[in-house]
Amino acid sequence: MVQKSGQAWRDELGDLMRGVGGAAIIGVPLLFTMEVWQGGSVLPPFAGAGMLVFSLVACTGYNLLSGFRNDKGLRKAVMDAVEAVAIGLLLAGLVLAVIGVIGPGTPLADALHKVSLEAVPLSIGASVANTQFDAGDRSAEETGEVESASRENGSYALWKDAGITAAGALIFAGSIAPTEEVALIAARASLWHLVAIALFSLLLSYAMIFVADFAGREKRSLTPGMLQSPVGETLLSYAIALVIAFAAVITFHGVRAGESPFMALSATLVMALPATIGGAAGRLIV
Amino acid sequence: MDQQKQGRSEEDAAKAGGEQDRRPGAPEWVTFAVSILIVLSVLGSLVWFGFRDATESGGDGVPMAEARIDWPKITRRGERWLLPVIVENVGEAPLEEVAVVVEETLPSGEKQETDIAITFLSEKAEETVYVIAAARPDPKRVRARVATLRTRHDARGY
Repeated sequence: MVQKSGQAWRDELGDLMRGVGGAAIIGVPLLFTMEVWQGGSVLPPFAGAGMLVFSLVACTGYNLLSGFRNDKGLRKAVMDAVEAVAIGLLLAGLVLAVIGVIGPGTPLADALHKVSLEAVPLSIGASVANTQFDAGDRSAEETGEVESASRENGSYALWKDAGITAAGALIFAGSIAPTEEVALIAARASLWHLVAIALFSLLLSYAMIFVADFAGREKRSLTPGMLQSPVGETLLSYAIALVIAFAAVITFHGVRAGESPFMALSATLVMALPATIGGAAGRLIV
Repeated sequence: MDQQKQGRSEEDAAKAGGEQDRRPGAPEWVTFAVSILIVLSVLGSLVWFGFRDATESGGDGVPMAEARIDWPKITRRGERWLLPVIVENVGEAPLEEVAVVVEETLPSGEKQETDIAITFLSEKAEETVYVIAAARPDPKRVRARVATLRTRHDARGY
């Protein structure tokens, strides 16, 4: 009974993290867009509340009509929509705080308007992940993942993961790196912000791959090898994201000899957040 | 007949089991309760701020920014002096292109101006910009003021 209850909580956590993963994948480019931050500040009265209501309606509609779970019913669709919007709000608030867009000095109304605007795509991302990418109740054994995982030897799986992570990181970093926002966030970031960005990137990467209930999760945990262990893979993928981020920073923002290395380090850590999400997205897809 | 009956009862049992599976358990209810608390708190705050903005400004609030020099925080860097200027949005609308002028009256009576531009300043937000001076600025002779500002069309009633 206790075991069953524990499993139910783990399943729920997996579902929540799947929503967080979907929200991060869909929403990260918008979280790094200055015009969206400013757009949140200039919303007319009640528009922020309107955005939230729109998110709730859109997510409910999506949950009802997405086709995979017709048996869910309106009540479940509404419950999932509320959870998706809450995920959107929390993730938007957390990322905006970590990258220094909102902070203790930001007026509450301004912060809430920014968060409510950013939460719209994030909520929809959470809904998409929850309805389309559910691993379901099938065990790894049933889906043949155990056999497939054991067939993949350690070094093959390692190179495959590294390549996919690099490709995903490159796609996400490539779309954000040329923008002014990276330099702006990096210039404003304190040492504590950078530590928070690095920790958040690692936690998000771990949660998306090893906690979120996406299809293929069990297979990933079964692949042998130290760097294929959850902690090893998370650290390796972050290292790859850092390399891609550094390359993107050099390409688009330049690092000159004699300059303080702090700015380059800061920009690399900022850039590594979307690169990490891209890398995790890549590994989830393949 | 009995077989048919048995078949139907198995089907009913499966259906009942399915219904039970679809019923949200404790973890789902807890997540939903926390989620609805978050959503309603944010929604309630936004509605409250909406009423406040609509009634305080009546849809026609005055945009205003102020600039002041933070004299206690003036610092020396080698041969130069860094003069911090705090620009604050004290109006009822977000501002764009806030032009600040730092004006120094020279002993000869002539005025020397330094222009600063701030791209964006949210409602009630403040930003610190720095002016570099060759000599230590004299509080009696230097002052900062906002020269021009712009509001976005339809921003908070504009």
